[in-house]
Amino acid sequence: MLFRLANPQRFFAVARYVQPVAAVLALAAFAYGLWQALIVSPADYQQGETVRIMYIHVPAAWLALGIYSSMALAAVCSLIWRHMLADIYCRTAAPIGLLMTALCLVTGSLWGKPMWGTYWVWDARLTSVFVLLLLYMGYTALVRAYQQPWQGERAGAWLLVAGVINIPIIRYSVEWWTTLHQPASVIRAGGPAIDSSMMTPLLVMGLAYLCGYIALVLPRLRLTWEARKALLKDLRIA
Amino acid sequence: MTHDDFIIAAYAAAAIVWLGLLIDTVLRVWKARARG
Repeated sequence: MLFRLANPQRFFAVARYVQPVAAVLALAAFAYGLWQALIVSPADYQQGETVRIMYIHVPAAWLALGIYSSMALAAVCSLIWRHMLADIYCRTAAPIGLLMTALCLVTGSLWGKPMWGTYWVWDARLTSVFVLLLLYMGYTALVRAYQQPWQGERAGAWLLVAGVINIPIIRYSVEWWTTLHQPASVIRAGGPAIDSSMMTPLLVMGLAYLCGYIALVLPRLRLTWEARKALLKDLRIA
Repeated sequence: MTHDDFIIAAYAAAAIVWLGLLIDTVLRVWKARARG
């Protein structure tokens, strides 16, 4: 499947159908998820109404981690097969991943102040997510630091592969160290620890974030691809 | 700030990010189409 889609023509032909479906799904999931998150789901017995921040914070964290993991996988493909589409994907996905990480940190801080009494602590979970933000910023700066874009993408691919060590650190930080951040409550051994009245809006918002990402990254990917083809054509003429 | 203020601020941040990304993507596509 992955190898079949490695053909850019085939990939963009499939993307032409996937993008509108993802856009419609994202709109529907955002509408239903926000209604569930803000109106239907109950207040938490400890957190009160502030628990509603979780429905936009947790999906942002999932997406930030998911985008980085997909970029690292694409970077490996780029380093092994020198595949231009993989490089273009990393370049296109990075700003969205950076924004999702920033959103995760901002919404987490806005939840932390009323719950913990502080916007920020340097505990293992918060610090490792902050490192993820730095990795996204570093990659974005690095790919723009070279005269030819593919040189920057080559260096960026190595950074992405090296930085992937941070993903399990983020995931297990709440188990390996004593943190102010609560332990995993959705993806954990023994099943989710969240009631279904809160799990439903959380999963629907997670689907909305994922579909929203797919709907936005595909047209941006195509534009970057077309720009790169034009640049290569100009270089051949020159 | 009340708890409601924190909730509003968090949802406003999410709206800014998602609408910003959507508008930026639409503008990029329009500019590319205008260039041909």
